Amino acid sequence: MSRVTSLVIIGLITSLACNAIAADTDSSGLNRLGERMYRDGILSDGTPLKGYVRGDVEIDSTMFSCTNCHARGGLGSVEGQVSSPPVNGATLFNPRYQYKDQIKNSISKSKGKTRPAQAIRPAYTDETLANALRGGMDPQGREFVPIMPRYNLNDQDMQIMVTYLKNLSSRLSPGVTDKSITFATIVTDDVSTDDRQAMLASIETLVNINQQTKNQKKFPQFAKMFRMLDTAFFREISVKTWELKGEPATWTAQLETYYKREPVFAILGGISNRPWQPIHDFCETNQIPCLFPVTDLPAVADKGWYTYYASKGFYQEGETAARFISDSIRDGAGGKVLQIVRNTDQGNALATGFTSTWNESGRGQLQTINLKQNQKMDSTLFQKLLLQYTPDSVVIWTGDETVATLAGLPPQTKRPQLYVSSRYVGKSITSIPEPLRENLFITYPFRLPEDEQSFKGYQEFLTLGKLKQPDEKRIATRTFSMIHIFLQGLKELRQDFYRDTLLDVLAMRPDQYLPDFERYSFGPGQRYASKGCYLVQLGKGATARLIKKSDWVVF
Amino acid sequence: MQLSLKRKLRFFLGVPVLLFCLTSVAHADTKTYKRTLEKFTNPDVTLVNQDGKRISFKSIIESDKPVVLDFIFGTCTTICPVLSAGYVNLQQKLGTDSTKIHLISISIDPENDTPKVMKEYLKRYRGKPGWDFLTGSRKDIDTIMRAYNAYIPNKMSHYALTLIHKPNADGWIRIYGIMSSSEFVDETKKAGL
Ligand code: HEC
Repeated sequence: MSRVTSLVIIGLITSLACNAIAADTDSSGLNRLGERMYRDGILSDGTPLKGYVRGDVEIDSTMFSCTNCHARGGLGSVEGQVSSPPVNGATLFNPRYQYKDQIKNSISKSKGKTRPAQAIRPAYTDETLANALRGGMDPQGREFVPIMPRYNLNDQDMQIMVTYLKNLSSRLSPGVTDKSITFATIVTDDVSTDDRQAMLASIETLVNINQQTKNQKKFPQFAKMFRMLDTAFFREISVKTWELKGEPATWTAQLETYYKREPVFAILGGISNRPWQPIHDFCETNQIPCLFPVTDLPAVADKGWYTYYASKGFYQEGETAARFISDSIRDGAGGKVLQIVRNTDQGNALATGFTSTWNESGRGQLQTINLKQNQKMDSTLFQKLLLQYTPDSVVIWTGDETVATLAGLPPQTKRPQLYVSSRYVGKSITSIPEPLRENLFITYPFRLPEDEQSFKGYQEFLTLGKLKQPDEKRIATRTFSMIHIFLQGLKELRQDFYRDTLLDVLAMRPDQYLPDFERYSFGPGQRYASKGCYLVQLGKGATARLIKKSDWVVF
Repeated sequence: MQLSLKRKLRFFLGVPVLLFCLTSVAHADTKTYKRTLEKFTNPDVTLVNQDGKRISFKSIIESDKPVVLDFIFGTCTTICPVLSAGYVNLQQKLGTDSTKIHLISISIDPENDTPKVMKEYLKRYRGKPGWDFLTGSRKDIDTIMRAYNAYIPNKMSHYALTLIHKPNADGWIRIYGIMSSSEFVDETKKAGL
């Protein structure tokens, strides 16, 4: 306790002797220093920001910093009973009101009236903010709860921090006006007309529903509420379709052109059969959130912030197979693994997931055979590889030729365990000859069909029967889920239309039970919502049942 | 069909309705913590640690060392950092004797907390030997949370809980809230550190 008081005193003394930061530090450089302090807990001289929580628990902010509790966009977080308030410039340097008063105030303001409400604290000044960070008290002298750390910040670093907070989420992000929010969705020209329609139909419905609620036509029971919220909240929603043509190498330039023509707040969904990487990179560069695009070839990176994916797609199937095999080896099976990879985007993504996971935690030896460009696998080649490598397990990342290859194998008494991807092999998987099924394990990244029954029809709600073919590729359902999650985010965003905050609030959503995946789960910094994938085997008969052989998440 | 359409509509309409119910959240009073003595049956489940090793949970609890248990997750916002700062401080005080007490963190986000994520978490906090982060199937994690009256159905409604076990004792010290560094040391001393 006495330590805290002495910090306050030191704080007061040093703030009296405040001197300006060298004028040659330009403002973006300053902002970067502030950002590093806020996000990574590193001071301007490169040393860790230190402080105390809970009185005497010393902390080093490279373990956790402001961003953990107050979130990247600065609008705060609530975890259990602890709420970390907003610390963005717009909030700190204005009196703070209870949320309901804030709403009433902004409604009054939009009608040109002022409505006095009791503030819960006055606006901060640079001095009172410095006191808050060093000594843990608000402008009225109320002491903070002990979870908010008391920080050791010298004058120069304090000035950097205060300036950073002043600019943090201080202006609404691009794409938002008083009357409208503009979004985009992305379609690449390798996508078929039907697939494109499966995604766009749901998005059109989203726009229409917003239009209807705005006009209160359809839901008179909510009319009163909407009227009240109208001026403060409701904005036109429009979703532009950004069509990308030609080679992926040219996508970035096309995206830049669209974006320059009309900035958007975020990208909703999107669809491509090619790797998503160029679009991912564009979103990182321009700091545009991209929510749950329909892709099985997402960018798989540790450090990405702006794109939220439903899953890691093919990569995740490979990853799961590696963990499953590694786990069975622990239980005593042999440890020689042969991986056969067809050189396609899908084959390579499966193999990358498998190999990188194997390198981290695999037990046993892995041998990988990369088939040549356009080379398919056949029974002869496969048999040759088996004789050459005598593996205990074979991981086969080849496409729809897989079934014929396996069916053409000579009868054998002892066969290795075989692993394939249900999505890459495709529908023909159920025609695998019965004698092979006992040794065959299939990665299946969705809820099993019998459990999916209760989610039937969800996509029809949004596509309103506009689809010409059944949604076998789960495009409409995945888009439905995107919209559902996006609307929750929009609700949580309240009036704080900051892009980082949209991602912050999505990260704090509880688990969602939606079509396709067992669960969409979230968390700060997590960017792949579905973490699981089953390993299944085929039951008997032509309409073989899938039999679970693993948990949804394999470690 | 009619009925399910209604249900789906509610999916969306729930959104604006809720807007009204939101008011500013009250601050928690974390100045004190609540200490109780409780009896639990240690569940017999197998978990996975930060090195990908399988661990019999019951056997590490019923060892001859004092054991401290908390519930965290790798990407948690407010509560885990503060709990983990407590672990870090205790380990620093113990210096080279850090393994005299077994600090255990159980993941409440097991699907995301793979060994890799847990290892990185411990590295970031500069955890020393003697602090293990454990994950497992949802079912097993639920079993543990229920066994210690610590069930957290949704990780964002997380609360701070620390459980301390003295070797061979049949009860636990249950701490609800957050301790200061000296309070934490006192409690572990009572557990035979
Ligand atoms: C472990 C969580 C945590 C961390 C880390 C943290 N804060 Fe806080 N902060 C809180 C909580 C909780 C409060 C609310 C305190 C209260 O009102 O009693 C708070 C309050 C504040 C306030 C006062 C807001 C107001 O409206 O009065 C400011 C300013 C602030 N924090 C800035 C920061 C900055 C800057 C950092 C990083 C250098 C930081 N905080 C790190 C949890 C945290």
